[in-house]
Amino acid sequence: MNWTPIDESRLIRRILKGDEAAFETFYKGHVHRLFRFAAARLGGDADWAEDVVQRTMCIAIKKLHTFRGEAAVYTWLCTICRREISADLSRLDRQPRKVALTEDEPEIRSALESLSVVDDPESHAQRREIARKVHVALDHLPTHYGNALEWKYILGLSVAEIADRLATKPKAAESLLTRARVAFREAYATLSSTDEMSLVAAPIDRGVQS
Amino acid sequence: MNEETTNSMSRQEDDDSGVRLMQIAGPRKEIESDRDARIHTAVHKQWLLRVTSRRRMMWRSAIGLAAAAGVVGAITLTLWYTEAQTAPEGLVAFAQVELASGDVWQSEGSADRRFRLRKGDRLEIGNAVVTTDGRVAFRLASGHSVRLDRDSGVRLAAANEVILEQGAVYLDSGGMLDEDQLITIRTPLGGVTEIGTQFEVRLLEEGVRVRVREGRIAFFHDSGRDEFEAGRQARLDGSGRLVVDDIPRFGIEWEWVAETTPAYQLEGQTLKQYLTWLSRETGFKIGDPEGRLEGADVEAILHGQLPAIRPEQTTEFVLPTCELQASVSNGVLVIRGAGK
Repeated sequence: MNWTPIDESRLIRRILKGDEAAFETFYKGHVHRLFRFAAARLGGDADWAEDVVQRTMCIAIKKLHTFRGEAAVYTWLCTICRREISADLSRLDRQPRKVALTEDEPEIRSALESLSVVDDPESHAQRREIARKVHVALDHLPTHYGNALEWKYILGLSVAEIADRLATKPKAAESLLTRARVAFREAYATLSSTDEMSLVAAPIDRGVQS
Repeated sequence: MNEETTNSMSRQEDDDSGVRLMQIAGPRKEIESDRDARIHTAVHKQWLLRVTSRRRMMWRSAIGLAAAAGVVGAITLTLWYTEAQTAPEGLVAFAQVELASGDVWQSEGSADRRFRLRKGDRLEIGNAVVTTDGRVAFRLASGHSVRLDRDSGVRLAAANEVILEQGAVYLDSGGMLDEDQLITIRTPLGGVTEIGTQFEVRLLEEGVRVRVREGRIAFFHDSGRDEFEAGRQARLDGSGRLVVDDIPRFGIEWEWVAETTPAYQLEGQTLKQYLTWLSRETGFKIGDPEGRLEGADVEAILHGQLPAIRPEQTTEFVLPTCELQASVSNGVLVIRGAGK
């Protein structure tokens, strides 16, 4: 897959012209994070999330010619995904539980300080919540930002290796990582201070009313 | 990267609590491969339908205008050669066969319905082309030349994508580089996109091999993206290991390609154009130690027809008409005056 930064408007034009490589770049660049987005809102139901993501991306393909580039493609896909989830819940005649999935912590340092050194269920839950917010923040960054941060700080790749993947020079990769870290901090801080999700389906079988 | 810059960046990272959070969080989880495959199949199908119907609408609009103007025939011909991939409902033209030797077949979605290919036949998007005891060369509407070796099979997935399902395929862009018409050869282990070039992709028992004869290609696979230049070959195995080494641009490695060369349309071409074609098809550089090509009228128009023979054999027919002859030495086609 081409990891280099993408001009999304140009990518969309190429997809509409029948460019298979462009389609694959679009698909692989969005399907995983869209799945994470859907699964988090469907109580972790992977089968349901698969169905929603498939419908979302098919709708997006049909309506690709209407995309104006005013927001990121991922943001646009999430909007479609939210509508599909709402429609599913309406069809199942279920009321969504309104759940605040973020703690009201405006600073990242607070998140770190809240982690207890004690190995107990509460600290495990805190770590899981932090991991979830970190992943949501990464997913909402431009694809090459999120990828570069994950490669460097989670998978341990060197700057030279990252530069190679991005088809750029190490100096440019360094600059990108610096900008990406800033963007991540801002995204994480935003998540920590807002109700990130307003719809959550209860983690029960589909078709069974709550 | 100098040491001072490295140390500065490291200090910034140490101070960045965001980095620590990412390290605590671990990698993002990806979809399981079977789910991914199901989603991909459905979305890809939707995309193909979308692209095909869009082109049919464009074609119908053009025909409507042409009928109004009373020039239907001329417009449809132009559309096929320039807009490409537009055709009457139910048929999306994609390519035309230039050479078919032995058993070569085109099949539609269902394998039960297939028909033998002949020179001049048109190929459709969505269909498969298969060779058993035969080889085939066809030209895409974009101008690219595509050739299949024996026991090979491709599926014509889209206007700019060919899926290699078995054996080997060779692509020649003719030296063109149009970013809107780059062709990708897709295999189970990755895709190869041309960047104005000649190259071969072959499925091996465990892996895929790419050979570049001219220009550059980009090879997309699970581990990333690699570019290779002329004279290089790369083998990717099932475990993702990539081995790269050199390969000559002429010789036995390209034998099957030479035997699948469509007949050169000599009539109306200049000597310069003929020699350019000859160099591309043989991999030989053109050597002119006597300065014959400077003295000769390289813009002279050639006449006649050539049979579908190996490219290097055509020199015996063409060069004497220009009082020239050729011999091969170390990958160079040396041009000298006739009679020497």
